[in-house]
Amino acid sequence: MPRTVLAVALGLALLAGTLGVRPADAQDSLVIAQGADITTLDPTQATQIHNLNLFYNIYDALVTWDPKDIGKLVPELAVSWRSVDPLTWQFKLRQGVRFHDGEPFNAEAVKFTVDRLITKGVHQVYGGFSTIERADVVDAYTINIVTSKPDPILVKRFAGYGGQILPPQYVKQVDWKTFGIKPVGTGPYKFVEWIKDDRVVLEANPSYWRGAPKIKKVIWRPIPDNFARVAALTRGEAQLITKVIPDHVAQIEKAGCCRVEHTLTNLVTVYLINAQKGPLANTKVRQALNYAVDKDKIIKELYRGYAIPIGSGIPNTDFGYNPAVKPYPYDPARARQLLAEAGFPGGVDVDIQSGNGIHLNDRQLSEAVALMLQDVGFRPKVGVLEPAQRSQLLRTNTFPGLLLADPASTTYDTDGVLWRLRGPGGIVHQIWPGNYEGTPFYKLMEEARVTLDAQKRLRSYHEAAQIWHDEAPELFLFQGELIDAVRNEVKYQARGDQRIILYDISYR
Amino acid sequence: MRDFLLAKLWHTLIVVFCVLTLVFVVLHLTGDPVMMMLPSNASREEIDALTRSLGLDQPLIVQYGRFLARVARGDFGVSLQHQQPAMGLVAERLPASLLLATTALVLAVAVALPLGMLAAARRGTALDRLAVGLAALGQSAPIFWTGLMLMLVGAVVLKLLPTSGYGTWRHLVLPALTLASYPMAAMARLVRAGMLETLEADYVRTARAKGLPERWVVLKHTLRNAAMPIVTVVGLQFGLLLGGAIVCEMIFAWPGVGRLMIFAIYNRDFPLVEASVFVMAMVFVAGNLAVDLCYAWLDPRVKLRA
Amino acid sequence: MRVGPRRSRVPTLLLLAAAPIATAVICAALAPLLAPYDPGRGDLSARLQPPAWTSAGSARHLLGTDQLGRDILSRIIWGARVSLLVGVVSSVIGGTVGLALGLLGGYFRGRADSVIAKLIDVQLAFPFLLFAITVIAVLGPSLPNLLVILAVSGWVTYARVVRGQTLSLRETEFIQAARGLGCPAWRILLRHVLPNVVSYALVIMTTEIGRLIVLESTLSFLGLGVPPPTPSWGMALADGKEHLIDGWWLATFPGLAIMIVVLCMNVLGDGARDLLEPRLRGRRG
Repeated sequence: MPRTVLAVALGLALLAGTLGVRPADAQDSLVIAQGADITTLDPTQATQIHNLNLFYNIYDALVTWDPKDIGKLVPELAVSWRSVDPLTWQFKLRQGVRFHDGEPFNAEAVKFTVDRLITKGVHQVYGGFSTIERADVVDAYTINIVTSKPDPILVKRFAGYGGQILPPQYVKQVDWKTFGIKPVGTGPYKFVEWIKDDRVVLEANPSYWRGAPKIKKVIWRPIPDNFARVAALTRGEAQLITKVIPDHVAQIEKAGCCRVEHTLTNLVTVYLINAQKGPLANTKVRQALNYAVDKDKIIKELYRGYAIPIGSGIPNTDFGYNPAVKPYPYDPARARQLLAEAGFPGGVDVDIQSGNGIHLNDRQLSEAVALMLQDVGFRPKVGVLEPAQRSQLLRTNTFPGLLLADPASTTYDTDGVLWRLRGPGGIVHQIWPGNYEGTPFYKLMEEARVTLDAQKRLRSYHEAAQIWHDEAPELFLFQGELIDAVRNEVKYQARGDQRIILYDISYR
Repeated sequence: MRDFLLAKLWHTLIVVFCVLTLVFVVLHLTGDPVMMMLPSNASREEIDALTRSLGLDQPLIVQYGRFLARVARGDFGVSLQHQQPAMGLVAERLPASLLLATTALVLAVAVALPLGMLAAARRGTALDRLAVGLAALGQSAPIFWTGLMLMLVGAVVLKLLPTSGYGTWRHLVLPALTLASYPMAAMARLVRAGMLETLEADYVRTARAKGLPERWVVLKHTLRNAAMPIVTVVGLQFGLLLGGAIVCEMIFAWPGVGRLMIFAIYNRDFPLVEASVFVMAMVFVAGNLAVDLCYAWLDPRVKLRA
Repeated sequence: MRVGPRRSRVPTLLLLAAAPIATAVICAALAPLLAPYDPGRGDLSARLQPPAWTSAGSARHLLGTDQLGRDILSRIIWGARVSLLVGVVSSVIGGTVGLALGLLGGYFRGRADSVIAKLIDVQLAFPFLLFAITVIAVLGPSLPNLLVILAVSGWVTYARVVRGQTLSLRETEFIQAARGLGCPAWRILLRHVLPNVVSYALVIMTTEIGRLIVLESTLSFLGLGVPPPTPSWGMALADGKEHLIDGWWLATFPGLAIMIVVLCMNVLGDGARDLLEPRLRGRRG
């Protein structure tokens, strides 16, 4: 029996050996290590960044973000666009582009994609496109997108997730399931293979419409453990890694082989407050929470400076950001005073919950915030939630006090970061009465949602941001930075939209 | 023998049925896969639509009935996260898990057996103390710690082995060593304890008195008797190794079933969890069977009764 | 191969092993008096300070501070409470249950054994992690719930081994004779079978105490451990894993504490087994 076991083991090991990655010419290939494996290659079925990064390279969208001016759109598969009437946007499409299987890119492909996007319940990205009524093909390279209500951010939606253009002929040939594991797009990289939990291999598309990419082969490896990822980088097993924690930066720089690339993102870290009842329903109590936390200290120590404090839940990258709204200063005396004014001189019990590793340093953040709240008279109780539990509490709006979250808009717009969450139909609409129907805040946000006049929208959002700050329905913390690390021989710059665009990466 | 096997089959059926049911109940009561799949700013409408399309809005009993009917046909459904057949995903990952678990177990036994025996034979000497100390080391470090330390030493400092991943025998060394460290230590202690016991047994003294060579006495008489608890632990460990390899797989990015299962659990991906649990349960049952057969072989007095 | 006189050697070793355990117990009992700082409070500006004897350390924190600026020595002293509680209480509960069920199943066979065996197998086949997640999700994260989870994780080992031993023992001439003489089952179990299996159970228990202390750490690594801010050695080890290089002291000292406790428990367990052995020798067939 042991001999047979040994033989089987050896056999498996040899078999495993043949699967091994033969390192190609060092300059011709790039290994990227992310924190999790992808779950699908169908761009309508996933929204997490580690999945999205593959989509951005296998597929193209109509438009994308300008890496140098985050929030500004640049053409990709659409060369120009304009609003024909309040309900219709017309896109002129790029000519001469082909999918990886040879079929041509044209208005039919866009129509096929849009038809899929507006089908409810079969995929995950419907929400981003729910305002679209239909797509009309005008000619081979012109298409009209018709919305049910005026939608000022329609074009931006196509830059976010789900905007990738799908190949109609290929999908009709295979089915959606197969498409999810053997994708075809128009992007700079073609899919080669995917071994679950081990690697995804892409190779350059030599006939890409922008010209062949510089790096011939890219391998994506999922390495869940933070230390293991850093170790892979310093040992040269990966040339680019994502999600580096601030405490590891010094170590990476000391190693000499590598450097960090970081940039401000549009993710804001806040604690959502369940303000439906109890002491937290009182505005003064919530303001006290904001005065009690020393954001600068947390940013400096816990996040090593890789963040900026915020005054309202809107990042400075998004349309509608109001620079006149400043972050709450650290003022424990004022916090104590507010608590007393609110009628709680003896303190308030408050639950502070977060996941454990869902967000960067989440548990430590909760513990640090709890200590600060304790100093002004709160009686905090820190809770660590498992991901699905957290999601359930969020969905049912039953989290008892504060819950850590990092809302972000994929359209770089206040509507996306605030109103999608809090507006009617939004997942946390219930938790703060201040945004129920009829309130000034509600009116401002709903109007801005359907106004095409950019100036008017801006004024509405500025006013809303001030209300948001003053009423403090959240404990505002900071807008975070993204930290990646690369080997010195790789030319790479981190993007504020967190995307890894392989086309822009090369070796020195 | 036939009765024994039939009884075993029946037993297995009940165990697997109970486990699958428990997993079903537990998963459905404590989380929502739809929320895990949609982005955090999804609207209620989207959540409801996806819930309906996945059949998750049906009453629990109905879902359970459908689930049982599918399982009886051998169909474990489609993974919610991957939109691929759940059992297919698990089957792909099984060889990697088996490779790791088997290697770790073989390593553990290969080291623990001689080490434990030597320690018992040289009881009270420096070797014995060393063995006891090493066993304590292996048992006192959590798996993630052992793994990270081995990675630090073997891959980062000594640069001998890859830090993580899968593909060559080199990738197998660190994870297998890590996974083996605890069972190795536990088994060494058990071997030592078992051997010390039987070394003093009367029949062994008799054999010694008869003038039989020491080595023969030790090997033949004591090993057989001490083997019982060892076999028990090995049998237990195999099942534990498959499930407990989760942490090891996460640290070393080893593409096994454990890692697949834990992310499925985090995401409440019911079909995938059920499929993983089923496969692991089957492997576990197979291990049990092997253990029972070993019992009978080692101790002829134990009759394989139903 | 000589087995020399043991009596004179064992007591010294046992004393040596008992000392650290006693220290841990004292720490646990007198934590509020012994710890220099409040283990839950920390100054963020003083985070990740190395131990006092290093160049960057200060005498204010002998063993340094952790990632939130909390004093590590204090957290270790307080952590003894949780770790010992977790290890001992869960082991004892699990051990008692496992021993009882193992005896019953192994001796009586038939229906009882069948049910117990199924119970054991269902427990083993059910992914432990899922069980831990469920308990925490349904009952909430707390120390008592953690004790339940750990106790449940352990009983099976005792049951399995004890059952196996009981199965064997049942067939020995000695036991058969006792049954033939009309000795009632409970008497046989208590006076003849139990003493023979209890040594195995004890060795297992000393192992289990260590294993459970360590399992608590793994659960903390996965976010399922003791809720903050309660300090525990296991949680400290899990926290320390992010700072292997820039904060080696975070995990080293709690790790040493765990290792010493486990080592001493092992030695004590072996010593206890030795003491039981003479009684056993007479009974074996």
